[in-house]
Amino acid sequence: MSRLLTGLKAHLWQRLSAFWLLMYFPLAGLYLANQTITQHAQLMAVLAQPLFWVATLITLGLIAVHAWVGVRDILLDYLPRSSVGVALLALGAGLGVWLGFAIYTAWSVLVQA
Amino acid sequence: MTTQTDNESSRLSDPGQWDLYHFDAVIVGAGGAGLRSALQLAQSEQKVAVVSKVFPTRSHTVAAQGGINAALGNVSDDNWHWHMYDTVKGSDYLGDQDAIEFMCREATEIVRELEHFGVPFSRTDAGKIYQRPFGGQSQDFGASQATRTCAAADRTGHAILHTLYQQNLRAGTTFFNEAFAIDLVKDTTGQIAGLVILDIASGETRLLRARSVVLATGGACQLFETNTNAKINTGDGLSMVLRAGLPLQDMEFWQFHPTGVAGKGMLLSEAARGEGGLLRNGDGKAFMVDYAPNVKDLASRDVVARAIAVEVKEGRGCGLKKDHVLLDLTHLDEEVIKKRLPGIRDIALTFLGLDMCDSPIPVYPTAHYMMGGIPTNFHGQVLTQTAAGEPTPVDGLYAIGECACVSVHGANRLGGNSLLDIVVFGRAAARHLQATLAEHKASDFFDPELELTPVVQRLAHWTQAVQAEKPDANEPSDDDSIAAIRRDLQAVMQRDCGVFRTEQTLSELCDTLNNLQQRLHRVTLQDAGLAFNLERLEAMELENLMTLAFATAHSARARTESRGAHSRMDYPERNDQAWLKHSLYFRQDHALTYKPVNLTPLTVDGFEPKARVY
Amino acid sequence: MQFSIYRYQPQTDAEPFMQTFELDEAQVTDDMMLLGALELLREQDPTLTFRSSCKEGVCGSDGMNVNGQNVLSCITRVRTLKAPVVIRPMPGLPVIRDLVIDMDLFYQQYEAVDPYLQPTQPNQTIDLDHELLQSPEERERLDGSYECILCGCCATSCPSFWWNPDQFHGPAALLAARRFVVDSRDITTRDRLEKLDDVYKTFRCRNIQNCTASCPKGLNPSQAINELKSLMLKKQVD
Repeated sequence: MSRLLTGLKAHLWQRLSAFWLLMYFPLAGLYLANQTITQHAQLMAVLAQPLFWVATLITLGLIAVHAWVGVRDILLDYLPRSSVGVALLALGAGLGVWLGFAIYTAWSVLVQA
Repeated sequence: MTTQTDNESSRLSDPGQWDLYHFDAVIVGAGGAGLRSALQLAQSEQKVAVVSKVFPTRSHTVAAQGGINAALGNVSDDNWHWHMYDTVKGSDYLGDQDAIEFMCREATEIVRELEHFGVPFSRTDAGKIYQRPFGGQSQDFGASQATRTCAAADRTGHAILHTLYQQNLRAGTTFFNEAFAIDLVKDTTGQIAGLVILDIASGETRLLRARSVVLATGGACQLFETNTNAKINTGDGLSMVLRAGLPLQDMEFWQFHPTGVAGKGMLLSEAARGEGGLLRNGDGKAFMVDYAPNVKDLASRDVVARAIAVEVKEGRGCGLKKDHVLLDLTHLDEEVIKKRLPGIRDIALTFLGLDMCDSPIPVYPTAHYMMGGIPTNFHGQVLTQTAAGEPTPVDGLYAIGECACVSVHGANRLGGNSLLDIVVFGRAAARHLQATLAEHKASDFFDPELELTPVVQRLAHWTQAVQAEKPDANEPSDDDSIAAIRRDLQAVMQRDCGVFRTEQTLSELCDTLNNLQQRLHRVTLQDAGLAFNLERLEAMELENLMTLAFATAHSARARTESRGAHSRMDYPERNDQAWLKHSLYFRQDHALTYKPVNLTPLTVDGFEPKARVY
Repeated sequence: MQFSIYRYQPQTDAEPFMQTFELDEAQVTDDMMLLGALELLREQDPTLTFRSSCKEGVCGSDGMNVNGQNVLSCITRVRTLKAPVVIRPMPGLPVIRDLVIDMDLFYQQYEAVDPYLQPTQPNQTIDLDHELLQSPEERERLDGSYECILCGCCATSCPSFWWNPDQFHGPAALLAARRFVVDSRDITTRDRLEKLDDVYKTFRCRNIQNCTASCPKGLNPSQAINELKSLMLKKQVD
C-alpha cells in the first residue's frame, strides 16, 4: 500500500475532513435556507457563486477521503487479511468513479451558469 | 484414552525421543544474573542459550525493591573500600574478602553500565543516579551513615530485570522460555556435558548438549512458610548440583527480612527505613535504639530481624495476638512516600487495605534470601573439594547470583548487595567463560557418551507416579498430595529452623524431614497430561526443596555457634576459634566438610574479625 | 462460594467446557486473594492449570479473565467478586491448557517496538566512567510507562488487538514504545516515531480504552498512544 494515506496522515486527514464537513453542512444549509429558491435556475445560480462552488468541491473531495479512511479502517479491523486487498481495490475504484461523476456534475453547474 | 496418554507420557523418559540441541554454553535461569551473563556472551561469537522456567521478566529479580549498592558518592562521600568494610562486617566475617573486594570495586562501573543500558534510575537534582541510605552502610569504616543504594523508586529490581531482558532482545539471545531444567548431564568421562530440560507447554523433554553450563537459578525461600519469594524459587539449580555429587556451601544461613507483611510475607523494602521509617513495638516505642544504639533502624538485617523476634517473644508485640511490630512512616512527608516508595505503598494498600501515609504497617521477619549456595570463586567457577580437602574448580560448570555462594554475603547479606552480586558475578562468569571457550572447540566435547540413567530414572518415577485411573469416589484413597507435603515441609522448616534454632529443634527437624522424604517418594499424582502439567512440575520442585531442607538442617545442626543470620539459642555467641569457616554439605550420607574463610583481599589489607556493633 | 472455571486439556478434551468448583464460605477469608482461592481449588483438583509466581502483582504471570474483566489473580480480593465467579483465560490468544494462554504474539509485538535504550550509535562504545545525566523532570516523564509488567491484561482486552494481533502492536508494546520515545537519553526518537507511523502498528488503536480500564498497575496505555500520535505530528511540523 502506498504511504499516501497510512498511519499519521490518514489519521490527520480523517480528523481534518471531519472538521470541514462539520463546518460545511450547517453553514451551507443555513445559507441556502436564507435564499429564496423556487426555480432550478435560481439554485444553479446560487451554486455557481465561486466561494460556494469551491467549498462544495472541497467537501466532495473530503467526503471521499473521509469515507476511504473510515471504510478502510473497518475493513482492516474486520475482514480476513487476504480479502482486504481486493475489497480495498474495489472500494477505491468505486470512490474514484463517484468522485469523477461528482466533479463532472460540479463542472457542468459552472458551465451552465 | 489412558493408554494413549501412557504412551505419550513415556516419551518423557525415553531419551531416544528427546529433541537434541548443541550449544557452546547454556545458562539456566533468566533473572538478573542469568541475563547479565547472557548479554555478555551474546556479544561474543559463542552459541549460547538461556533456559528459563518462566518468561524472563517474570523471574524473581523483578520483585527486588530498594536498590543496588555502589560507592558512586552522588549524595555523600563514598568509596569502594568503605563499601567493602561494611560488607565484610555485615557478613559477620564469614564473607570471602577477595570476592568482596572484587565486587565492591566493580560496583561503580557496573551500575553506570546498567544506567547506559537504560535502567530508569531515580535522579538527584544534579541529574545523577539517586542514592538512599540502607542498613549496615557506613562512611569511613563505621564512622557515620553512608548513602550508597542506587534506586529506581522502589522498583529497582523490576527496572534492572526488564532493562537486561530488553538489551538481550537487542543482542539476539536465544531463549528457551517456560522450560524446566531437570538435571545436569555428565558424559562418561565425568565432564559436565549439558542439561536435560522439560518444555512445560508441550511436555516434551529436550537434551541440550553444551560445553559449559551456567547455573543462575536463584534462591529457595519456598522452603519456609512465610517468605518474600516467588513460587518459582525452589532452588532447582542447587539441587541439581547436589545430585551431581557436588557440595553446597553455608546452607545454614538464611536471611529473614525484618519487614515482611505480618502473617503474609510480602516484602516491604528496607528503603522504608532508609527514607526514615521507624519500627515500633506494642508500647509505641521505637525499640531499635535498645539493640543498635548508633544506627538504630538501619542496623544490619539479621540484627533488626532478631530484635523484632525478641520484642514479640518478650510480650511487647502489637495487635490482638501481640505477634508483630509496626513499621511507622506516618511522620514522613506524604510526597516522599508517594515518590520514593510507591510500590510498597501499593502492597500495603492491596494486601492490608492500609495507606502507610497515615497508618503504621504490621510487619514480622520473613524468609527472604539464601546466603549459602553453590560454592564458587569470584570468576563464577563452581568449586568442589579434592580428596585432600583442597578447593578445585569443576570444569565447565559455573554458578552466579543467589544460587551461588561466592561468598560475598557470608552469614548475613546487606540490603542492596544482592542486585549488585547478580550483575557483577553474572558479567565476571561470562568473561571467564568467554576466555575458556575461546581456547576450546566446543564440538570436541560432543563425542563421549552421556550418562543419562539418573535423569531417566527420575523422570520415569514421576511418569509412573500418576494414578492409572481416578480413584473411586467411595473408596478412601491415600489422600497425600504434593501440596500437603509441601505445606508440611514449609511449616516444619519455619518452626524448627527459623530466626532462632536449638539442637533440639534441629534434630527434630532431621527426623521430620526423613518422614517427609518417604511421603514424597510414595505420593501419587493425578495429572497424566503432557501440556502444562503443573503437578508433575511441582513434584520435581518439591524434590529439589526437600534436598535443600536436608542440606540446611544438617549444616545448621553442626554449626554450634551464632553468626549472622544463624542464631543458636543454645550457642548464643560467635566462636571464631572453631567456626570461622565455611560449611560444605554433600548429599551422600549428609556428609559435612569445611573450608577456611578467605581473609586476604586482592590488593588491600584484610579486615580481622571484630565484635560486631551497630 | 461457587466458581465456574474454563477447562481445556488438549490431549483429552475435544472442546473446552466450564467446570463448577465450590469453596466453603469459612475458607474464604476477607483478605483472601483470588490466587489463594485458586490454590485451594487446585488441592481439590491438581489438574487445574494456571500460571502464577510472585504472589504480589509484580511478575505479571497470573492474568486471567474474571467475571468479564482481565485481572491479576494475586491482587484481586475474592470478596470483591460476584459469585459464581466466572474465570476464563484472557481472550484473543490461543489457549494452551485451562487458563494458560500462548502469549507469543503479545511478546512479538513487544519485541517489534525495539524496546531498549539506544543512547549511542550502534558501533560507538559507551563511556562507563560517567553516567548519562537526566534531570528529575526528564526522569519523571518515564513514570507511568516503565512500570509495565507485561502481564497482557491490556492487549487481551483490546478489540483492535483481537482483530490484528499479528500487525497491531497493542497497548503494552506501544506503552513500551512511548517509554523509549520520551527517554531523554535515547538518540533514536525520530527513527522510532517514523517506524511507529503505520496504519497497522499504531493506528489500529481506536481509543476504546479497555487497556486503561484493565491495567492492574493503574497505567494508562491509551493516553500513551495518543501521546505518540501527537509526537508524530510534532515531528512532522518540526
